[in-house]
Amino acid sequence: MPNETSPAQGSDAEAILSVRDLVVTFGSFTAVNGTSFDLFPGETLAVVGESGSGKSVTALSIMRLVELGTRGKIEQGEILFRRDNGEVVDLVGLSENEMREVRGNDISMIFQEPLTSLNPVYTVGNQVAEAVQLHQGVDKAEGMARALEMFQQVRIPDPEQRLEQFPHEMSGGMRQRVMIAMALSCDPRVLIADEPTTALDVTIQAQILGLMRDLRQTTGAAVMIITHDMGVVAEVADRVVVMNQAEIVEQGDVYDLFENPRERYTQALLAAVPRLGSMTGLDEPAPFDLVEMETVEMKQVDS
Amino acid sequence: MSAPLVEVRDLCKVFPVGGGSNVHAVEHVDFSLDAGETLAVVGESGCGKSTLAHLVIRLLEPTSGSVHLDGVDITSLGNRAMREHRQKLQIIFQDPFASLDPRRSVGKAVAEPLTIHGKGTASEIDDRVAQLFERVGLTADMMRQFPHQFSGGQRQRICIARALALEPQLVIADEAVSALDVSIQAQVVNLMMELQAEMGLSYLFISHDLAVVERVSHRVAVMYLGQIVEIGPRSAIFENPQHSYTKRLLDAVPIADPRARRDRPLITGEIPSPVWEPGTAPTRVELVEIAPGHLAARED
Amino acid sequence: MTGLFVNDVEVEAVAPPGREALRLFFRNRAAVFGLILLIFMILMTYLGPSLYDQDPSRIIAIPLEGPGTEDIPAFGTDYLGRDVLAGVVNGGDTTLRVSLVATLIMVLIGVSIGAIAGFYGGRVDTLLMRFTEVFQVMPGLLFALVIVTLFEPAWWKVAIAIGVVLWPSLARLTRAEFLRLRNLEFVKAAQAIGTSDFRIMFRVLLPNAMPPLIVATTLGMGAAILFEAALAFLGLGDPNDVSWGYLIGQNRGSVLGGWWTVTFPGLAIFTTVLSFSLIGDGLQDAFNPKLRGR
Repeated sequence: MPNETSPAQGSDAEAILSVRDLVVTFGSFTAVNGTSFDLFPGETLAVVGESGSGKSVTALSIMRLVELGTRGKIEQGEILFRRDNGEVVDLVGLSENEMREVRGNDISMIFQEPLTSLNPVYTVGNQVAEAVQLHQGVDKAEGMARALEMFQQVRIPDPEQRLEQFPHEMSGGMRQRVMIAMALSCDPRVLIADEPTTALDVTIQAQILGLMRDLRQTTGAAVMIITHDMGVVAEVADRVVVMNQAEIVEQGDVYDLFENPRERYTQALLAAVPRLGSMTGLDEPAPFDLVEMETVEMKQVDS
Repeated sequence: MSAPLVEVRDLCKVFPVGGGSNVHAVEHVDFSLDAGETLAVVGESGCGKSTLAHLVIRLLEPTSGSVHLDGVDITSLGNRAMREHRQKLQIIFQDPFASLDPRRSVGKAVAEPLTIHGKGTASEIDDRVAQLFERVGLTADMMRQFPHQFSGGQRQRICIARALALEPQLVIADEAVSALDVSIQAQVVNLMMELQAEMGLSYLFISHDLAVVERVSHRVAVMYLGQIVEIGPRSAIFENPQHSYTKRLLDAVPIADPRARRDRPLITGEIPSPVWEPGTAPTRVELVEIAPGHLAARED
Repeated sequence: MTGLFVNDVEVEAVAPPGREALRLFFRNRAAVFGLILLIFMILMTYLGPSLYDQDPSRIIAIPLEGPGTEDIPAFGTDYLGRDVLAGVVNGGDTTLRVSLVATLIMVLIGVSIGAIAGFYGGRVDTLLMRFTEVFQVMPGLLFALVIVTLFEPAWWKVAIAIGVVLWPSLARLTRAEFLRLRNLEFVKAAQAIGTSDFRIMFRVLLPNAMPPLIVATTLGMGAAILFEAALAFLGLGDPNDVSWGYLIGQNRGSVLGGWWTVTFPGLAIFTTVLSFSLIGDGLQDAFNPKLRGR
């Protein structure tokens, strides 16, 4: 594994989140196998990979959600989180109660499916207010006031009316804005976004990506974005971690990685990405110029 | 120039949704498709591109309009004649997991259209299936395996083999590569292009992914709220887009190159609902020819 | 073409799920009929005794006088010469009270155990489901009989016995719903903002599991009434409480000589149970319009 962990801000910055030698298993299956990477304050780190690469499990492990509901287990490794006061805690060692304090408050997460990630039986305003009430010990009215403020920040049109709507009355793009509002409502220091735009139409995706870039500036939260889409990586990331088959293949600065991918897997992945504008001047369709690579697919053929 | 393989004329599909309201899924769509050509239909969810695909293969009956295949209006064909014609049209769906019966061997799945249409003896069909498996990049010994033993990319190859069994002239790819990982997607796209060159297939390529569309298509139609707002040669659409929706769509596509990063205006806004209140209907757009074969809707 | 993109996109104009279900419920004739039957039975039970102010335990005439006989109440007299109509009018209170409390106990135990089993899964689930099975394989009526005979009969003891017999099926249903829901993203999202397990179970999952649970509870109410009637028939209710089952039990020797003594209390039970079945089926269809006609 190439060792390039220099942050965009320079190596003297202290990581807000450091994953060290993380191993996560589901029964006999190893989903994440010894990954290590850092997330620095204010940066956007993209974790990119194809299905089964372990990128989403990595995200859920940081939240310690991998053990809930699913049968995942963090076998080994540390997830070091630097608190506001500079104290560093290993999230792996925290109790479920302590972890609950971290979730939503210090580290928040948004998910892929805006259609299913909101509770259908409560209004969206209620759901955002609930997150605030949970962590800041405020009453319902203050929670709703904060929800309104957040709706304005994520540029939801007619925010007052929208607070009273149920999820099914909103479009996918609006719901994802609500999810972002909820995730940012307690001023977390880290935002983990798991495929936040994958389920959205391309024009809505562009709006959400623009919003996420803007919010990073206004909130200062470090963002870890999990995606399979190299286009999304190129649009928003400062640094990139490439994962394949449970391991980190390569990590580095986004410009370096796109221009000089070192590992064969990264090269193959980049070669397969359709790029808008790559056909300019050609009349006939043209096949992709593929780099041979051993993929998960090929392994399955043998088995 | 010979007559086009497919000619779609003034095709409309209206779904009543209760209370007198209607979804105008496809509105006055006209296009033609030549043999050996790929026409991509792009647009966002709800624009009617999938409905259009289903109308062309007659999985849905149009509200009005016609679809001519090889000069025959297939929308007016009876069942038996349609069955004959159906051999010339095949469709590949987005989800290769859902389109294969989990309890039948994949060889049987590919053989099925041949058996149904009585194309040869059992051993002839077997040989043909083996040949198809080799052709789509699988091996003949995989025929006896079951769908769950294959990955997504392989299953899509199996679906392609099944679609090709009857040597169709037109293959409709309804988001056929959208669910695949990029590396697999690229391989399947390349396979589809090879098959086109070899067999002279025409593709109606339905997709929301403009970057893939740019790779595969000869011509592109952009759909918005059930109507084609721009249609033309690929280079014209991608390099000289005329309609503001086409432009906005192209602007929105993330480019896999950090140096090409653009500022994203902080706007909101989505495509309006295709549901029309009782008594209302969308106004028909008027396409104007900008260059030979490049038409775009007039905008006020 | 103006305004290619708009901000106030109308999303499928559907009513909130609850209101839509209500609308469908009231369009279902059988369900509305069930509701009318139930309202009638409730009115009879709670307003009846003051409108028809007769003591059901007082002997008013010679035994087994049929309806229609002169100077005899509308439903005739029973084997002791007591007023059957007064019995029917006064018997509903015990029956409804016992079955309502029994149903509440069923919901309390069933939902809690099902929720915990479905949410936590794993060993907790296995353990709780074994426990549930133990109750499920016991013959319900026999089990209730044992409980009631062990103690001095009182209406609330009967209610507890019935509740304890009925909860396992509700626990299984709750568990199944929770298993289905707990992997949905909004549950993950709730966990990701630090919501406690208790809140997730009862504020996030339970409201989403409500439709089938409401249906099962309604149907459970009908089952509870039948159970109460059976126990009272066997004379295991509080002998001081008149109930429909008790009336039938008391008169079981006179079925041939006085059909009216058992028919009218029987009709009362039948009507009430039927009303809950119709309402339950109506709710089922209203919550799942797609299942209709299956």
